[in-house]
Amino acid sequence: MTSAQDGIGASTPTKVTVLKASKLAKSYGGHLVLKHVDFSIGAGEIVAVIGENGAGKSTFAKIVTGVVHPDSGEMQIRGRVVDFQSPRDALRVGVAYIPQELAYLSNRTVADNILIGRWPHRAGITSDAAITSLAVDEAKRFGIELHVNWRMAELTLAERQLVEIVKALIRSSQVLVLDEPTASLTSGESRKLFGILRQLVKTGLSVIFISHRMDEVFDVSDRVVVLRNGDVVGDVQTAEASRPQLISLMLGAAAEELGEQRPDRVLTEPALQLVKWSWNGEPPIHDLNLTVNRGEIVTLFGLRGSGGEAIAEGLAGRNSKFGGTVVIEGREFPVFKTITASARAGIGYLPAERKRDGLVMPLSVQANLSLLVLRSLSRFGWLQPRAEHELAERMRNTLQIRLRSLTQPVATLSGGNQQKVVLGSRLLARPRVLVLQEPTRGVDVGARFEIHHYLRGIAEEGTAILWVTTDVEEAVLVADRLVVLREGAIVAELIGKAKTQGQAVAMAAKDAA
Amino acid sequence: MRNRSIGLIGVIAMLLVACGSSNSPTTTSSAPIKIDFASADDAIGVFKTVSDGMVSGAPIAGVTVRRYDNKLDGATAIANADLMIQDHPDVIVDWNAVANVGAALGKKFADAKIPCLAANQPIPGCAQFNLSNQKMGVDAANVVVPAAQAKGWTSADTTIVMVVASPNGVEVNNGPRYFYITAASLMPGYPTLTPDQLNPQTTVIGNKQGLQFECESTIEGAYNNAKNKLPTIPASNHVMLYGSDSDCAEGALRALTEAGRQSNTLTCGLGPTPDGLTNTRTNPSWLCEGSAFLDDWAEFLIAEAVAIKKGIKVPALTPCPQLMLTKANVDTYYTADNKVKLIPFPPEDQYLVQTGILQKFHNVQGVGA
Amino acid sequence: MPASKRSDAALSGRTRLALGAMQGLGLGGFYVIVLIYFSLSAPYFFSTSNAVNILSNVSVIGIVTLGQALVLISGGFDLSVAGTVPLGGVIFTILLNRGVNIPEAWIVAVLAGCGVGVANGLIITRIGINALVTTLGTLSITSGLAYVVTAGETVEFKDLSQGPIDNVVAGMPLYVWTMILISIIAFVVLRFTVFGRMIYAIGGNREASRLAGIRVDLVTTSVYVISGGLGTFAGVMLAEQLLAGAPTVGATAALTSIAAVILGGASLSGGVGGIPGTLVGVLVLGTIANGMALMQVPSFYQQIATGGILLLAVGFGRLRVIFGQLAG
Repeated sequence: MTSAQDGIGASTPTKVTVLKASKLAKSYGGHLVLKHVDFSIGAGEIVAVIGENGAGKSTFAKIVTGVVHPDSGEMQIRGRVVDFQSPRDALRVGVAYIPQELAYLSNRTVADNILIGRWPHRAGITSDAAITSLAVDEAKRFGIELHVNWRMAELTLAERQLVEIVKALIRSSQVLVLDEPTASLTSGESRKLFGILRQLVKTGLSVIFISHRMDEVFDVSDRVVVLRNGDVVGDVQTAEASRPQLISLMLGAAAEELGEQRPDRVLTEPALQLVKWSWNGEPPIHDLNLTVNRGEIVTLFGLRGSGGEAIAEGLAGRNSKFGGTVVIEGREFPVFKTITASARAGIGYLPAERKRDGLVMPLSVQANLSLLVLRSLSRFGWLQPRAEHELAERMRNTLQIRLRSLTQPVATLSGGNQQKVVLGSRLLARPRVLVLQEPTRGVDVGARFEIHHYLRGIAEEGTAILWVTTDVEEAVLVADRLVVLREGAIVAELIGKAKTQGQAVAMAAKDAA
Repeated sequence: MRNRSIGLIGVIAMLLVACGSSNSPTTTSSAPIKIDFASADDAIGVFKTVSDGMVSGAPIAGVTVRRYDNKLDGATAIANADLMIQDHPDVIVDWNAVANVGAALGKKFADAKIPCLAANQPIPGCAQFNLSNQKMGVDAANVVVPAAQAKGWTSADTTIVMVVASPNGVEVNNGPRYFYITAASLMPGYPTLTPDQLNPQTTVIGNKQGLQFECESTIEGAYNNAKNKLPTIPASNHVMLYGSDSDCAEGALRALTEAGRQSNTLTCGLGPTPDGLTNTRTNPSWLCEGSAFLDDWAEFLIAEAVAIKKGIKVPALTPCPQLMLTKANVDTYYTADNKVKLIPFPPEDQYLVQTGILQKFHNVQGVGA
Repeated sequence: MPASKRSDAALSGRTRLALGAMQGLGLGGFYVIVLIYFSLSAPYFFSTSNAVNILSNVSVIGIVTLGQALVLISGGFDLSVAGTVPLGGVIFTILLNRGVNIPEAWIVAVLAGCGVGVANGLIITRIGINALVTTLGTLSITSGLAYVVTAGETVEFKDLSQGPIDNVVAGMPLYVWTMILISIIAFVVLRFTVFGRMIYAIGGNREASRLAGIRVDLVTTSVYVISGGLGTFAGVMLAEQLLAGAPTVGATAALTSIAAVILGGASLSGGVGGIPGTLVGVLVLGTIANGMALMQVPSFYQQIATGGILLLAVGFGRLRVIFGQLAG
C-alpha cells in the first residue's frame, strides 16, 4: 500500500459502494448517446473512464453530477436513491464536477470564483476580506498556490484550471468527477494534482476521471471503465490491463500499433528561421535562434512557462513585444506586429484554446472551415455557397471529421472533431509554415492518431511545421527534431536515438523532479 | 472605483463650494422686462414657430426673453420650471402641453412668487392665453352644415366624423365636440349629446350617424385609423368631417379620397396649416380653415406678460385672435403664399393696447396696423 | 508559484503610474471636465440651487436606473421600465383620488411593479424567451395598461396638498434623499451581500453559476422583481412631482437608464458594473441636459451634443486600454 512517485493508485478500494448507476440512457435529438451504462465506484477508489470521442464519456459525467438529467436509469448514493434535478442537488450530497470546458467568471477574482455559491457570510452579508482569507485557506489546504486576488482573466489557462480544481475539491465530500483535468497542465502539475487526489481518496473520497492520456490512466487509477458508443465495453482493474487491450476495447478493432516511430529524416532546406529573438516578458528570451526546414516537423517542448507559448504567439503576430527577425523561405521580416502580417507572410497558426481563439462557436462547421479563405470563395464580395460547401466537404473527408452535417454549429461537435475543424481552417489557407500550439489537447486517442497521421502527411509534402507542445509523449512521437526549451532558452536538440521521453523531460526540468 | 469616486466628489464639491456664490441679478426699473419662456416642444413645427417668435419678437418689443423647451414631457416641464425660477425673471410664460400637469407648475411659481402666464393649457394660479376650440368647432359647423343642407344632405345619410387627440386633454378636443353638438342642433335627426357624453371613449354615435377615432397627432396616424374605421360606415354615406387640427382632418380626408369619397365629404380644418389654406382655396371639399394665428401668438404673449408686470388687470382667460377662414375672406388675412397679412383683434384683448407692444409689430387689425 | 501573464507586470514603474492615473481619470474625471465647462459657459450652473436642480431632475430616472443596474449586471435587460414608470404613477393617482392614503397607495403601486417583474422573470427563465424580447412585450402591455386605466388622459390629484415628497429637508427635496437612500441600499446589497455576489456570478457566467449550485432562475427573477418595483416606485415619485398621473411619461426611461448604467462601466453582457459608476452615469446625463438648457442650446443641437458627449465619455474610459497597448 505504499505510494511511489509514479506508482499505481495507492489505496485499495473498500467494500462501501458510494455511487451506483444502473441502466443510464440519454439521447440528444434522436441520437442515442448513452445506451445502457451501469457503473459503480467505492469509497477511496479512483476510476478512469476512457473511450473514443462520441462514446458518451462527458454525458456520463454530466449525468452523474446533475448537470444533465438522464432519460432513464437510476442512481444511488450510498444506497439511497437520488434523482438530481440540477447541479445543486448533486453538490448537496457532495458530488462535484470539473467540466472539460472551464466554467468561471472571468471578471471576478480567483477567490470569488473558488467560493462561488458558497461565499462565507453572516446573515447574508459578506465582504471581500472574508472571501479572500477563506480562499487562501482552502487553497493552502490542498497545497495549491494561487494569487487569490487576481482576476481570472489575468491568469493563464493552466492557472485557471487549477482554480477550477480547488473549487471542486472544496465541494466534493463523496465523489469528484473530472473531465480531462490535465489537458492544459504539464507533467509536473499533473503529478501534483494526482498526488493531491491520492491524498484525498485516503479519506474516502471517490474519484472518477475522464482522460485521453494513457500514462495517467495507468499511473493513477485503480480501475478503468471503457465506453464505446454509449455502452460499457470494459471494466477492468488497472493492474491487470494492458495498453493494447484498452485501445482495442475503445476502438472496437484490433489496434494497429499506434505510436510507431518515424524513420529518421534529415532535411536541410530552411523554411522558417527565427533570428535573434528576444523579449522582456515571462520568461525572458535573449537572442534565440531556431530553424525549421522544409518538410520537417520540429517539436518545441518544455515545461509550461518555458517560452514555447510566447514564441508561438510571437510567430502568429499575437505578441508584438518581440524583437528580432523572421525569415520565411528566404524572405526576411521583422517580428510580426499584427496577425495579418503573419498570415500574409505565409504562417498558419493553430491557437492553444480552440474554443476561445480558434472557432466561432455559434457558426456552422462549414463557416468555420472557410473562415480564413473567404475571399477566395467569393466573387466581387459575394460568397459562393457551393464552392464553400465543396471545400468544407473535402476537408471533412481528409481529416475524417465526424459530424451529422456540415451546417451544424461547431459547438455541437466533440473536442477532437472541433480540433480538426480548426486545423482544417488553417490548412485551407495553404500556409508555407504551420505553427501549432497543443494541437491534440483534449482530443481522444482515435482523433489524435488521425491528426498526427495527417500532419505527417503534409510535412512530407513540404510544409514546415513548428509544433509547440507540453505533452512529451507526443513531442517524441511526431518530431523529426525535438527542441527542448527551458526558461526561455534552447537547451537541447534531440534527434535519432537521443530523442526519448526521458531525455526530453530531463533537459526540460531545472533539477531532477 | 476610484474614477467614480472622483465624479461623486466633484458633485459634492460643486454643492459646497458654490454655496456662497450669489447669482440673483439686480433689476433696476430701467432695465428691460425679463421674460422666461418655456416652449411646448421645439421639435414640433407649430410650437417652434411660437418659440422662435418669442425670441425674435423680444428686441422689437424691447424686452429680453430666455427660452426653454418642455419637450412635451411633464418631468421636463417641472425641471424647466426650476430653472426658470432660478433665473428670477419678471414674468414666466409657460406652454406646457401635457394636460393636468399644470397644478404642480402653478404651485412652484406661486411658491416662488413669480407671476406667470400660461399659454394654451391652463396652469392654476396663472393667467391664461388660449384659443377657444369650442368656438372653432361651432364656427366650423356653421359653415359646413348649411353647405351640406344646400346639397340636400340629411341626418339619415350623413355621418359626422370626428378625429380627436385624447391625450392632449379636454380643451383641445372641444373643437370636434362642439362641431357635433352644433351640427346636431342645425341638422335635425342626430342624437342629442351633452359635452360630457362626447369623450375619449366615444367611438360610434347612433346608427352610424357619428364616428370618432384618434388622430395620434400626425397625418399618418389619422390616415391609418381612418382607413381602419371607414369600412364601418356605409360607403354611400356623406361625411361631415372635423378634426382637432388640420393634420387630423387631412389624414382622414386622404383616406376618404383613396376610398373615392372625396366628393361626398365636407370638412373644415384648424391650424392653419399651409395644406389647409391651400385646400380652402382650391379643394371643393374643404370649406374653411380655422386659424388661431398661432404663428403670431408670440407678440400677444409678450404683450400680456408686459401687462402683468406693469400691474394692469388681466382677465383669467385672454382669447387669442381666431377666425374661421372661408373661401371668401382667406385672402384678407393671408397672402397667396400663406403668410399672415393681417391679424384680427379680439375685443376682449383691448387691455393689451395700453402696453404699446402690439403697435410695434404693425400687423394687428385696428392696432397700429 | 505560478507565474502569470499579468499584462501590467512587464511594464516599467513609471508607465504603471501613468496608467494608474489614467484609470483613475476615466468617467469621473470626464465628469469633472464637464462640470468645469458648464460652470464657465452657463449662467447659474455653478450654484447650490442649480446643483439641487440637477439632483432633483435625476431623482426619478436615478431610481429606475438603480434597478436597471442590477438587471444589467445580472446579464439581463429591462425595457419594461418605460411602462412601469407611468403605470406606477397612474395606479397611485387613481387610488389617491379614491381616498386611499399615500403610504398604502404607494405600496400597491410598488407591488404592481413587482408583479410585472415576476412576469418578466418567469417568462425569461421558464419559457426561455430572451430578455430583450420579453421586456419589450411587457413594456407594451404595462404602457398600454397605463393608458387604459386612465382612459388616455392625465389624471390630476384631486387633493393637491398630497405632495409631501416635494418638501425640502436640509436643503434638498425629499425625493433626492430618497434616491440617495436607495442608492446606498443598492450599493450595500451588491457589494456586501451574498445575493449581490450571486447577481455578479450569473451575469458573469450563467452556466458556471448553475454548475456551482446557484439557483440562477430564482436570482434572475428576483432581479426583475426589484427592477419592476423600483420602476413603479419612481413612477409614484414622478406623479408626486407632477401632482398628476400621466400615462405619457417615462417613454425614454428604458434607453436612458441602460445608457447611464453602461456609461458607468457596466457591460452589456453582464457581470461587470457597480452603483458608484451608475450614479456618475446618471449624473452625467442629467448634468448635460441641465447645462444645455441653461445655455439655451436649441433642442436639435442638444440631441447631437448629447450623443457626442456620450461617445467622448465612453472614449475616455477606453483611453486607458489604448494607452496600455501603446506603452507596452
